[in-house]
Amino acid sequence: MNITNPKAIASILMSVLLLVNQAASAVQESGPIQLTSNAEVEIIKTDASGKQSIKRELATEVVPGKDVIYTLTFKNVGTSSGNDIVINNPIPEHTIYKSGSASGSDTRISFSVDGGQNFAPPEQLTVTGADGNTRTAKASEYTTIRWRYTKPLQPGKKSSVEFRVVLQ
Amino acid sequence: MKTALTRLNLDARGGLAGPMLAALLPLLLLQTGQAQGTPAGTAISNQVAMDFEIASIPQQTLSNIDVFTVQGLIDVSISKSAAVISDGQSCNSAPCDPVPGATIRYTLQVDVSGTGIAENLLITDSIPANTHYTPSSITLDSSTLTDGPGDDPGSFSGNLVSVDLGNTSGPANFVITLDVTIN
Repeated sequence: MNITNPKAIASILMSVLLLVNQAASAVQESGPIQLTSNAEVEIIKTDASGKQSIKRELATEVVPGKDVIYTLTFKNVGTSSGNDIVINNPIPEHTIYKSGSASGSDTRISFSVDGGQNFAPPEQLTVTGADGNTRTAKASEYTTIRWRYTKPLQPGKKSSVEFRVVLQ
Repeated sequence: MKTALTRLNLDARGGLAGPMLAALLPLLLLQTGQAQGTPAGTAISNQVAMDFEIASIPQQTLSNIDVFTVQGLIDVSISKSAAVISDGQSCNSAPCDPVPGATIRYTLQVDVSGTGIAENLLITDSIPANTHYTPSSITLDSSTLTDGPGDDPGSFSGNLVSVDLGNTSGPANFVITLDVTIN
């Protein structure tokens, strides 16, 4: 093979890219960063002395009007650090986001009111009201939450973010 | 005799404590709205997408889809009405005059609406002052219940008439009556 031939070089490059892509998809299948979503509800427990405490239980059946807490845990089970981690969570159907409930350490949180096309912090999110005027969006109008993890996630490490909704 | 309006919202697991109803019954009328919200049995799922880079190669992971279901909402409403069905003398059908010796029949309409189970639904009613309970006068859906405990849902003890409806699936309706005599 004459590697001074530009076409041949392009061909080799294509092959290398193809290999990288195949490797990437293979890694993706094994999940270098796993993501799990848990839905929980708060239960008030009363101990023998009458003292009450709030415990969380995995949500299985939930009555309308109750809060559901979602915890998203992401863990690097691969061998290389993960960078530029962005989590997009559409607000589940039949639920309403609770204002101020999204949290997560080392994250920048933004929201969307248009189904995840545009994201902004709450104070910059606007919608057009029925009167045609633009106003700040209400938390109940958010459609999607985005967390941008600001650090690399090293192999073996995990982190989590959470938010609350009310079941309609 | 409508004196108050109260809304009772029960979750299907929360049940309804007897003392709570006993405390509320003197209000004479309890009324609730219809069950609202996402229909019972609806599955709520959450699918999250995560984008990231490993060695500068963009990748995406989707979360497991976790699902819970919407539980039914049970509303229990009770309305209570009274009629003087006898004056102890010549009048034998309501409305009679509420004179001493007259019999008042109280009718409790229990309406369990929505879906789910109202656990340990216990209806109690205290006999009003200046009256006394007419023995063996408790009825549940037109069937006469005994005053003794344990043999059927009805009982009378002290100053209290009790009808134990147990775990009640909604929707359901019950009519309870009891008679008292004016002292």
